[in-house]
Amino acid sequence: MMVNHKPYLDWMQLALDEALAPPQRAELEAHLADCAECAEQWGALIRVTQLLAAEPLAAPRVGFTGRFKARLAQRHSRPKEVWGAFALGLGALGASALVLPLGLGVLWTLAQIAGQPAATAALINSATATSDVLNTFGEALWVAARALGSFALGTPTLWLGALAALALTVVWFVVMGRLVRQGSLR
Amino acid sequence: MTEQDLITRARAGDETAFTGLVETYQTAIYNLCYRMLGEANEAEDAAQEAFLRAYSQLNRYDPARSFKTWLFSIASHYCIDCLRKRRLTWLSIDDEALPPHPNLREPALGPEESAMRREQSAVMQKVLSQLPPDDRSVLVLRYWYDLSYEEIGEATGATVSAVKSRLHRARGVMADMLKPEAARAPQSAKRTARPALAAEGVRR
Repeated sequence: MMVNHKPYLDWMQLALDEALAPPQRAELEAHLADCAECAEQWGALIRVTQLLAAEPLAAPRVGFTGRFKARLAQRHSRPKEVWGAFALGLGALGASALVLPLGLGVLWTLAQIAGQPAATAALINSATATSDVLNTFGEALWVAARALGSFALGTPTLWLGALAALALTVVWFVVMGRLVRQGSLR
Repeated sequence: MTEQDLITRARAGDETAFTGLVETYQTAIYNLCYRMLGEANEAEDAAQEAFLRAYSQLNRYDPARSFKTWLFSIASHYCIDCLRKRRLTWLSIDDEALPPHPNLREPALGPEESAMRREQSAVMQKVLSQLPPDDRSVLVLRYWYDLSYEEIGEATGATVSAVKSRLHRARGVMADMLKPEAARAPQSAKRTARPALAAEGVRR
């Protein structure tokens, strides 16, 4: 006949917690005398409880309370960081509060102009004139650059000198940068 | 000054009074964290964090309850959170040997006995580390602090029947894990095949 071991396994757990009634204790004892499998399990459970009971308390390193005080002090300083972030956010909000009305103002003005045909025509004329002036200025610059280029190509000493000056400037920036990083210049 | 006086003063913002409570419970909380996390530095961090949380939540503490149990509740929940986060980052620690704790409070032992205790301790810590966090906390609170089912329930937020079930499961799993080790142990170290029921209830 197959024996159901489950109740005995449950009783073992209760026995470990001193919560098993005497009649069941006696029944468990009788079962353990006959069942090698349950006896092995009982032995292992006893071993577990013995090992657990023998395990000492682990203590922290000396100075735990001092380290706690230091952490608490550090924690107190955190609200300042929070306030800093809050102030930054508030500043950003303020800046956008300034920019937003300005942008809305520009849009509103453009909408007003678009509503008046004469003003729109004047605005288009003004934009065309500004564009013409900028084009003329750009062309003049282009002509000047071409003239300077042909002159430089004709006189190699000039552009060699220019390159040397550029190289010296780069060297100066590099040296100064290093000195500043090393803290020699304060 | 009594514990209640210290708590009252700490609730009024007296850090020195709270430091007194830290002094009293540092080993208990640290040991809980160490048994839960298995590593001394992590245990130190967790214990410190548990006390900081306790200090900041002191106004939520109900003086009708045990202060120690309340601290255990904060520390065990924090450790369970740490273990869950760790599970996301660590693939497995199954085969890693856990380093022995440098500062175990036990009586002075001879070299041989001391070596055996260290080995036993390492086995115990490894077996503990393989239990689910919730089961582990129940087991630690039961065996290191001798808390009742009700107190463990209060500390872990579980019902008494859940506590019993976790405790039984944890012991069963540990017994299964220790069976192969027992089989490898020298004959002299083996216990009798059927330990008497008189050995039951071996607790701290």
